[in-house]
Formats: sequence, C-alpha cells, structure tokens
Amino acid sequence: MTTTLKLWVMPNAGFESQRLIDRELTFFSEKNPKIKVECDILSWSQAWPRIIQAVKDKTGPDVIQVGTTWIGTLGYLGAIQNLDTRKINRAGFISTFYDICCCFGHLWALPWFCEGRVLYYRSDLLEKAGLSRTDLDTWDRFRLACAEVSRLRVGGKAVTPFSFSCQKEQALTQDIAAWIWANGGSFLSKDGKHAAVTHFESVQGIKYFLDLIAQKFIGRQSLDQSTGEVAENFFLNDSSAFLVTSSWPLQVYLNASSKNYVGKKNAAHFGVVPIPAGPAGRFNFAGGSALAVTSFSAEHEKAWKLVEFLTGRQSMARYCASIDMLPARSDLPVVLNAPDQICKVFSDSINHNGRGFPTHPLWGSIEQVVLNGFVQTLSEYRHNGFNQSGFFRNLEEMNLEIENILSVFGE
Amino acid sequence: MPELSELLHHTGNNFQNHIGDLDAALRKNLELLIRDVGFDRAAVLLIDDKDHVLRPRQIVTIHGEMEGEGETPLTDKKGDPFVTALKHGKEFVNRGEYGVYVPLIYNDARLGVLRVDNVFTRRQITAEQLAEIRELAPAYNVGIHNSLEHLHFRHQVTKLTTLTRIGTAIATTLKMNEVLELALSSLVKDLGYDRAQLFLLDEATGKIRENLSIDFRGFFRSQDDTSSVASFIESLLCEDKPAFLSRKFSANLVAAIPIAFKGKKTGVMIVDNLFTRQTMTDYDLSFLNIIADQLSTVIENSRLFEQVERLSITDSLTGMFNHRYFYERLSEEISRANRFGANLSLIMLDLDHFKVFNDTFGHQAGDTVLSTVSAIIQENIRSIDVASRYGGEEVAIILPGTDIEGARIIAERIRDSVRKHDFRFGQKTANITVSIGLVCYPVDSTIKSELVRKADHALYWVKNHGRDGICAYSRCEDL
Repeated sequence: MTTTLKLWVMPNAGFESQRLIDRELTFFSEKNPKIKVECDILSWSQAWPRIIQAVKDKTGPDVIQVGTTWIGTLGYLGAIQNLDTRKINRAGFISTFYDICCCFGHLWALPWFCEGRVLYYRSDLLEKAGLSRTDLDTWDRFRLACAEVSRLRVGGKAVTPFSFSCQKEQALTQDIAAWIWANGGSFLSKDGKHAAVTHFESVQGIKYFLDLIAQKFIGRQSLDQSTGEVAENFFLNDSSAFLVTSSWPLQVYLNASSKNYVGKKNAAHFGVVPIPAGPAGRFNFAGGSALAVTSFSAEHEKAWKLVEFLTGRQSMARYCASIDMLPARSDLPVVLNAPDQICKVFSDSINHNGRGFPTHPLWGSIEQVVLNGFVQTLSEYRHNGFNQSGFFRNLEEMNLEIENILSVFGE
Repeated sequence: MPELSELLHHTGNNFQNHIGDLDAALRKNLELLIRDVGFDRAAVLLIDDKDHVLRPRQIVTIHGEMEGEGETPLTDKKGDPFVTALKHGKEFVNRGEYGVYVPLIYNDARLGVLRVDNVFTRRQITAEQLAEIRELAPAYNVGIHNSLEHLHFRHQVTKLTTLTRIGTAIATTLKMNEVLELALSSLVKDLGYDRAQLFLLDEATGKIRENLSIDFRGFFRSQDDTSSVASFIESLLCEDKPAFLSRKFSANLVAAIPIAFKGKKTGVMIVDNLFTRQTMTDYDLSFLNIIADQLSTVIENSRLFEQVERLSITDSLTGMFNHRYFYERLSEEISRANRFGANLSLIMLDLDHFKVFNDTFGHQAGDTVLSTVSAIIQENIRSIDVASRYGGEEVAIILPGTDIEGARIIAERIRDSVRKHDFRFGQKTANITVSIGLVCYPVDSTIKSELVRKADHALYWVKNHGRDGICAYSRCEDL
C-alpha cells in the first residue's frame, strides 16, 4: 500500500522552486516506491501562520521546512518531533547549524541549507580608489576605505561607499546583528532571561554602524529602498561600492545560466570578503533552513526517511547547487556558481564567522521589537541626525519591551 | 476553456463551500484564474484598517504558490497601482507590469485588491482577460465579504458561548479554581489566544499569592512561586484599565486586564499571542474585560466563602482557632503522622493565677492578656503548627512532625517570652506566667482523646508543683 506524505517548503529557488523540489522527490520515490510525497510551496509570509494553524488543529503536513529562527518556538510548542533517538551522524553537518537545530537540550530538525552574510565589493571601484581587499578587513580599515571611496566620481557622479536598506524587513536585524556581535554585544543575556540591547558593547556596536550613516558612508537613497532594490542597484548600477548580503545574488545577477538571472552588467567587477572584524572578532548572521517531522504526522518513520533523504549528501549537494544556497553538511564542499575564492569566503561565513539568533521560544516577538526599534532609530537618525538622548531612549524602550515579553513568558 | 458563466458558478461555489476558510476559497479561485483565464499570477490583498496597509492574503502563480511582496501602505504613494485602484474605485491596468488591479468593494466598504498579471510571460492583459476579470470581481466582493462576516459572527458566537459557560460555572460552583481554569482554558482552546494567565493577589499583603496559567498546548499550571515576575506584575497593577502591553515597538500581542471588585484590585489577567504573533484589537480588550469582570465576582465570592469558613473556626478574642477546629485538625494530623510514620506533639498551656489577675485588674485587662499571649504564641511557633483556644485561659498547640524534645524547645521559648513580657495596665505592671504540659504521638498514646487527657494531666502536674514550668507527660509520671 502506498503512503502519501505531505511536505511544505518555501520558494527556495524563485520560479524554479516547484520543479527543483519535485526533482528531489522523484529521486526519493525511486528509492521508496511505496511513499508518495505531495509538496506545497508556501510563501515565507504565509508559512508561519499556516504552520501555527496546523499546530493548533493538530493536523497538517508530515515534514516542514523551518527557518532556523523558528526552531526554538516550534520545539517549545511541541509542534515538531525531537530527533534525539534518531541515528544521526552529527559530524556530517556543519556544527553551527546543527547547534542551531538544538534547543532546550533536544535536536528538533536537520539542517538542509544555509546562508551566511558577506561583504560584496565592486573591485573596479576599489581599484580606482587605490584600495585592496585587505582594506576591508577591520572596522577601522573599513571606515577609512569608505572615506576613500566617497571621494570617487564615476561618470561625473559621486559614489556612495556602502548601500544598506533600512526598510522594515527581517534582513535589517540580521545585518545590524553583525556589528553588535563584533563589538561583543548581544540581544539577550546569556541565560536568555534578560534583554541586553542597552549593554555597553551592544550600544557601541550599533553606534559604530550609525556613524557610517552620519559620515555619509551609507547612501541616503539606499536607506529608503528595499533590500531587493538595494541589491539591484549595487549589481546593475555604479551607485555604490559595498553591500552586505548572502549568496542569492550569485544566481540572480551573476549566473547567466540560472532561470532567475536578470543582469550581468557588473559581473566581472565584484568580489566578496568577510564582514569587517570588530573589537570582539568577526561575526555575521548565519541562518538557513532545516527539515523537521511534525508532531502530528501519522507517518513518523516514513516522514523521517524523507528528512534523512533530503538532508543526505547526494540530495543536498544536488539541491543546494541548483538553488545557489550553501549546503549544511560539513562533508560537502561549498559549491556555488562562482570562483573558488568566493566559495571560500562563503564557507568561512558559515563555518567560522556565522552566528544565529538566540533560540528563545519567543524570539519571533522579540525580533519584531528589535526590528521596529532599529527602523525607528535609523529613521530618526537619517532625518534629524544623531541625537544622543533620542538614541538612548529608543534603545531603553527596546530593552524594556523585550524585558516585558520575557516577563510575560515567565519561564 | 470554460464559459464565463461556468467560471462564475465555480467561483461562487468555492466561496460558499469554504465559507469558514477564506484562504482555501481564495486559493481555489485564484487557481481558476491561472488555469482557466490564463493569467501568470493572481493575488488577493486585503486591507488591514488598523495598520493602514494592504496585506497579501493569497498569491497563486503558474509556478504554484509563491513568495509575494510585503505589505503596501495605504498612504497616497504616487503611482502605486494598488492605491490608485483603490482611490478611484475601479480597475487600473498597469501595462509596465503586465497587470490589472481590481479594487474589491462591498457596499462602499473597501475590502482590498484583486491583482492579476502576466508578469512571467510578459504578455499584456488581453481584452478577454480584462472582460472576464471585470465579470468575476463582483463574485470576489460578495464571497470575501460573506466569508469575513461569517468568521466574525462565528467568533462572536464562540465568545458568547464562552461567556455563558463561565456564567453557568459561577452560578453552580463555589470552587474558585475550577471556574478560573475553565475561563482560562476557554480563552485558549475556544477563542484561540496563545496563552492566558491569572495572577491573584493576597488580600492582606497585596502581593501575588498564586499564578494560574494555561499554555498554547492547553496545559494548565498553578504556581505559588511567582518571585521572578513579581515586580513586573506589580507594575501592571498600577494600571486601572485594560491595556495592551505594547509600547513604542511592539504590536498588540499582550493584553493586561486588571481584575477588581468594587474598585479593589484582586488580580491581573494576562492574555498573549506571543507565539502566533496575531495582533489583538480593541474588541479583544473589551471582551477580555468582560471575562475579567466575571472572574472578579468569582474571586470575591471565593474570598467571602473563605472568610466565613475562617470565622467559623476562629476564636474572636484571640484570633486563634477554636475548640472545634482543634479537634478536627488533631484527627487529621494524627492520621497524617500515622501515614508517614512521623511524630506529633501536643502542647497544653494555661495562664497561671488568671482568676486572681481578673479580679485584680478587671476582665478587660484579662482579655488583653489573653490576646497578647496569643500573639506571643503565634510568634514562637511555625506556620504548620496549629494553636487553638481550648478553654477559658487554656491553649492547645499541635506541633506536626515534632518529637517531645522539639516540643520542649518551643514550649520553653513561649514560657520565656510570656514571662519576660511587660504587661502594663495604667500605672500597674503585672507578671504573667504559664504552665505547660506536653505529650507526644505515638510515644504517649495513639488515641486522640488519650493524648489530650495526658497533656492536661501533665499541665496540672506543673500547676500542682509550683506553676511557671513545663513537664512532659512521660516525665511527670516518673516524678
């Protein structure tokens, strides 16, 4: 008798999402002829409410793709099964991501693919400013590099050193986190019971970033654009020299064979380096997706087989290469449609510099406060300039609101 | 290709068949637009009046369900096709995006926008497509309106049912925790809030005495130790009105509702959606306030019931338990000691020369001495010990889990404290002493009446041997 499993995944490869996951499922069905898998592609914005509703109704898919920042909440709610008793070769996965999948002493999902933030730079503009990659290595050097680039003119127009979107998107928190961590700061205390946004190290990390705006190293225009628009301008125009993002532009702007490819204007003039190191070291946000078996699946064992298959070496290598994401297995090389040097930087961004958000059950709500707080602070900053009391007021308010959430949580 | 009439029929049917699930209805209907009308992408975005944004509700494309754009603010952004369509109340064809935006309006109320386009194949909208979408849009208006109304009414019915159930429970039981558990459980299981918590205040101290909560999974929990959140909850108690715990950067995910009876605060109820992140509205706040009002009655009734119960077992002069309660508790404590193989001691105490004192100082002074001695006793015993006024000036104290040596230490402490106390009546000073007899279960007896009799015997042995002393029954027998 054939069993039908339900799988929910997100659009991991734009318009190609359905085709590429179906290809993997065909391979799975060849190995497991008695298991049929039906896959729905959910948008990221729809996925959370749909999954939560399924948890409430105790009915839904057998296997779900989960963003790494969701694992703590879903694990806490008992929405996904803990995988402690499964036979898993832990060493086969990148430890950063395996650890992100572990919360409250249990393993809840297996890493599928990951992404790490890096600093993209325009090599032609860097050269023109008399700079090299090493000039982007630390906070101090990066600031000097921004100053040099700001003096450049291309086609009679000034170049803005750094493009950065300050719109209300999750990426904003992820991008600013790198500067907080690099200064030894954090969002929550180590025990997860208190907010740490107003800790000295966190404040100074944010302040370093705001100073880049104050010194006009971050373009005002980019601040008002979405992350998509900022990337598009970076890759297709000459408006800026630096951008922080993950590996997705490789497919969209640089890989002409990709179906999602939209442009190639500056393909030959870019490179990537790790995000500059701060006083406490070099960090970047590392996230990604994992696969989990839902607690309401009536077919635990078969669902687990599917998770094992998709997170296995062969399938993961094939799938990640096709969606231009980084494999979450340590026994797979980082293969991107890019030169080795770029692959190396991305590999470092997940293996060495990558850090995830705290795995608190209420991280989603906390992240929303942080995001709104950053949006407000940056908005005030760019419209009225730096105002110390306003800046501290916002941080204290963020801190208090996070404390409130933690208090209501009560554990 | 199906006829337009057939499409209209299917669209209406989908809305009707999925009246309680708008997402499913929209998904099915948008799929029809892709499959049968030939659009590349079809989406419904609904207006969120509270946030003044258009929010994607369902998006279907030729590639399946896809990631959509984020929220669109309803501000008059120049050239925004969504806003343009809504502003003019008619469809807006955007050739640059190969799409058409159709406002969804029911009886002058703006619901949102239906957007269809051929963005992937980069074909302009054909005249046939435009004509069909114009014909189909009214079915969306009616379907979405009916579905939203249905959900609204269903929610109202659930709320009313919940209120009725809680009301019935209040009328039929005096067990406060049963009603509170029912109320909290209804908020989570029936009304879909993530969690509900109640913090009840101690009447005397105004501090939190208990926290009852039900979590997302429906697990009920009662906690006495609330020290970790005490200051936070106390800060909420400063508020007089129900309010969201949102400030500058949070959405309305936590509602804090003070519970008060005739202006006196008895607790606070906290309801949150911190997991699902579904924002609450002012309607939620009003409804929760009604629930809180009902609960305040339950809490007050329970408090009064406890008060009556307490009065019936309390001696009005000394505040100690009365003779009846002493015997009830002694039976219970003997059973408990028997079950756990533990000791239990009994102190029998009497004020020395009390009759003479009354004759000298008057009965009012006698009453003062009795209540003062009672206070001294309470200060020197543990919270688990039970002190009762046994007779006129005689006090019995049950000491669970205590052997005769332990009882002697406590008795000595009481005797010493009474003796050292400065009893003053106007210009006069009185010296008060007490005589104390001790027995221990099971050493001296395992029978309740025997224990009391032997404690009395020991007490009178002290009385007959100079007073102001202590004697254990086993010891006085030897003497």
